[in-house]
Amino acid sequence: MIDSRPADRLALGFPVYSADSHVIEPPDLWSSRIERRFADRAPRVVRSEDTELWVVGDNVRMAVVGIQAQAGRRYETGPDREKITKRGFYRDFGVFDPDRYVHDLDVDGVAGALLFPSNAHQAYRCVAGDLLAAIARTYNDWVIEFCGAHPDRLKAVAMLDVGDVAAATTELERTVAAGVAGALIPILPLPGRRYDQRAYDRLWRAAEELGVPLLMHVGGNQAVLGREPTIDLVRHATKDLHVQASLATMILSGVFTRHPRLRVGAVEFGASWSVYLMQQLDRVYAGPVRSRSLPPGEQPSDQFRRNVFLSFQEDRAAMLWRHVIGVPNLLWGNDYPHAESTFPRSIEILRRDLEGVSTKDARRIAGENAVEMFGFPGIAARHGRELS
Amino acid sequence: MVGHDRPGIDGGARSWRRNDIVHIEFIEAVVNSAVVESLSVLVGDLADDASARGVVFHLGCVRGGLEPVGRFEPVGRLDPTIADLAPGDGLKALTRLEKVLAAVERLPRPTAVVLEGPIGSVGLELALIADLTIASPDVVFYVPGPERGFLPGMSLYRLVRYVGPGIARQILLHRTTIPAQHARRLGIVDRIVPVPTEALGAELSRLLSLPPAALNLARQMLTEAGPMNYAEAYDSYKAAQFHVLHSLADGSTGAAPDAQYSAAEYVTAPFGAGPDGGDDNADDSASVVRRLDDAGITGAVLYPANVFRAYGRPPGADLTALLSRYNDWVLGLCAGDEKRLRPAVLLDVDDPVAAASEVRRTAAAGAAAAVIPLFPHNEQRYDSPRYAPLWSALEQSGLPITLHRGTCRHVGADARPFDLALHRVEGSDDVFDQVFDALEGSYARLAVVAMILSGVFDRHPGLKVVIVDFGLAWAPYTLMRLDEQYEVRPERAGPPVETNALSGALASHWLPSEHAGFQFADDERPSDHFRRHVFVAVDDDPLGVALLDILGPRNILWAGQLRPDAAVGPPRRMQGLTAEERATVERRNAVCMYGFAPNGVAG
Repeated sequence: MIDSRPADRLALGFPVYSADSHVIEPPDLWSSRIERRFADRAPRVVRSEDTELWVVGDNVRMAVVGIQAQAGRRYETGPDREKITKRGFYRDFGVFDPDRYVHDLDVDGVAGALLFPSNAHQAYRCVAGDLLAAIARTYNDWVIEFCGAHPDRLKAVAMLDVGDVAAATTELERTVAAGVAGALIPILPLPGRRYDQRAYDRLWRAAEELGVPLLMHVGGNQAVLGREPTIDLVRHATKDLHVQASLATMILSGVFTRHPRLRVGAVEFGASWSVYLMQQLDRVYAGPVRSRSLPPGEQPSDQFRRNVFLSFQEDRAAMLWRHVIGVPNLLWGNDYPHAESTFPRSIEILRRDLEGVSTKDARRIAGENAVEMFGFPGIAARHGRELS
Repeated sequence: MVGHDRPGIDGGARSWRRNDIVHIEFIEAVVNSAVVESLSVLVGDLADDASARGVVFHLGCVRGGLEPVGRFEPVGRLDPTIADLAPGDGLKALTRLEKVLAAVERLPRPTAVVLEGPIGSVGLELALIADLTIASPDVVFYVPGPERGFLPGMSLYRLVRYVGPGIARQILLHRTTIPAQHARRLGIVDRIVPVPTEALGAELSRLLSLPPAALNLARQMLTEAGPMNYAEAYDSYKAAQFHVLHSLADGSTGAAPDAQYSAAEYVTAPFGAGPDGGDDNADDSASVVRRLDDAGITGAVLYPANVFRAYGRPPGADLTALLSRYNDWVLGLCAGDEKRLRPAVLLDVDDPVAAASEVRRTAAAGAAAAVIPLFPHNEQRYDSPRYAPLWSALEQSGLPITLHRGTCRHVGADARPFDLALHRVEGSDDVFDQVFDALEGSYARLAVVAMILSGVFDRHPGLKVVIVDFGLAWAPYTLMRLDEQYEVRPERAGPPVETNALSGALASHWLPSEHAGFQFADDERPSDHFRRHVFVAVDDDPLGVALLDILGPRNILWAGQLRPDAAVGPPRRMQGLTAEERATVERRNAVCMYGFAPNGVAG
């Protein structure tokens, strides 16, 4: 069973920040908040058998309420593991309550966390157009409020509908002004709307100018709109394929050549895959390609290291390859409260994966990179002595 | 199901059941391939037979009207002609036997052995794995010494566990027999009684009264007490066994220290993949050997430089015929110098049963490896059970699978198979072509991940996959992700399930237990299957070499990749290896995988 006592926040000798944690949306988030004209089609809870789930639009199943709250399950065996019912809620986590949330961060020894949705981005595969944009706006307003309770420890990620680039840009500007630290975009947008298209330049430019990273998170794929998800462990074990392809597309098509200050994060995919991708991109680009979009003398791997960063939970190979990937590009996350989460053993797991890593690199990977990337000013000041 | 009231006779063993105890008796002294097969069937039935409370093996006993086994001929001795079999066949027979023994060792119910008279090495193996061994005073174990050309299977490993390496060395090298009393002192035999079958009932009843969990725990603790785990020792044994068999076949021992084998070289066939065919620069045996000599390569596995793109053809007889034609040509080419040139044949897997036939045909003609497409079809991934006949044929033929760049099936709407198709836009798409080129290795990863997570290697423990020309750096992430996903989502293992095919609200998030697929053994993780069955052939990859702690030399083969059109010059050697690692990567692994002669051939 989970020990709910706070852990030593400086157990590693420096504060730890999570670049990938999650809220779980309240069941009535959209039904109670969305603009009235979308009320009939917004995500709403229906009961099916013994389960509550959100349906959206024309009753498309979006997500099961609460099932993502499974932190700690992977470490349990026997009856405790079986307590995870099909409805989730292994434990009454602090996912709806910011005060409880920071308490759980304390239990995990984590000083601060960047919060992604658990369910809102499932809408990418369910609906498009004005409804999707409204779902995103509603979520953004709520998560900004949620993090506002502890602005020094919780940072929000906004969700963008990139189907309308101008509207997405406006929403990015609005939410950044309200305090979000980054913005979620689909790993792959709608079919035929790939990120190499010039239509996105407006959004890329805004992100550059605002200094906020754009984030591709596991599970946010708009190209599968209308498809029922497949339960397939093979796909889960190769889920980095799409983010690799999208990042490769952006690099090879010159997105980062045109927007050299744009930062894009691949979140929860692990990090060590990037070494092979960089190798292969350089190989291909050195070969007989028909068009070249990178400045003379620059290789795809140069842009990858300059413009892309990666979050991971457990990736020992990435730690060993950290100087190939680039220490500033590696950000740790606890994925709380999902099934893959390192909660409540984050410190123990970090200590294991960081074995042999210099303290200087370790504190960057496990904390400072996130502090700089997403801005935890309050906590940075509080831990100024430690960070220095 | 093992026979009930009356004895069943199959090959060299028979079985009967009494009071839900299954008895298996060796009715022939010699354990040859047929007996191994028979035992495999009997033990396989036992594993599925929940009603059986225990199993007893009888060696040297005389039963029910059958002719008595000769009293001076050790019963349960390995057929010495196994050493005369081709290396692949010999290893296969021994591998199958070991699989049977391992299955007995893991049966979740008491096992006993009853021995009388002279006993061969298989009897010793059974005694070493059983929970109870009862012997008559005249029992003598005859352990084949090294002069017979093969180690006594994993009995040496088990013997060392019992008696320590010193006494095991004495037995193996100097004594080669173990009388009953000595075996009793060593702990191999539990009881010595004049008529073992009469003592069996009382002794076995004690074991039967134990809770199964207690018995299994005791076994586990005993197994784990040793310094090396079973899988490590088994891999070591198989590699050693292969070397010994080859040494015998070649009439020499030891490998030339400077032999260097390439897991991938390329030859030009006299016909290409296109309809026009014809290639004036076709290779022959002499031209390939000259290139190897120039590069200082002892031997090589040969792949086509101009036929892989045939995998872009639509399904049908044309594809099958073209690949078959290439196979005949490359088999003929390699026959010109079979010690140095080893042919990889190409398979059309659209019809797995026909592909299995082609495996058997080409293996009989000397094939050393078999190429299957990197990715077959969107609806027919390699976790599909449709490929079971092909995996069986490959396993039985001892041919490793090759997954090679440039072999995806590019057919019609599946022009970029699997989910990468989502990244393509209409019309000419140069960006996508580059992305696909960069990510082509993902299909090799997808193939082995699908095979591992669906339990292909559990059902086909002799199957191996060699991934050629994609480097090493993809592997550490693959290993990590395999284990992480299985640990977190074991209930999602199994064939893909479209959620709309499931009932209930949970469809999109939870796989009901009735859909659960392959579950790994408690002490195994998916990465164990990768390390045991998946190999990577590369020329050099400094970043991959930097992480040898994660994927070590045992899984790496060197590939010189002398394409006919490449500039003449020395091939790239892997850098950063110790001499021992280099010997493994450049020589030992190729010898074991492809059947090169370990003594090498002067260049």
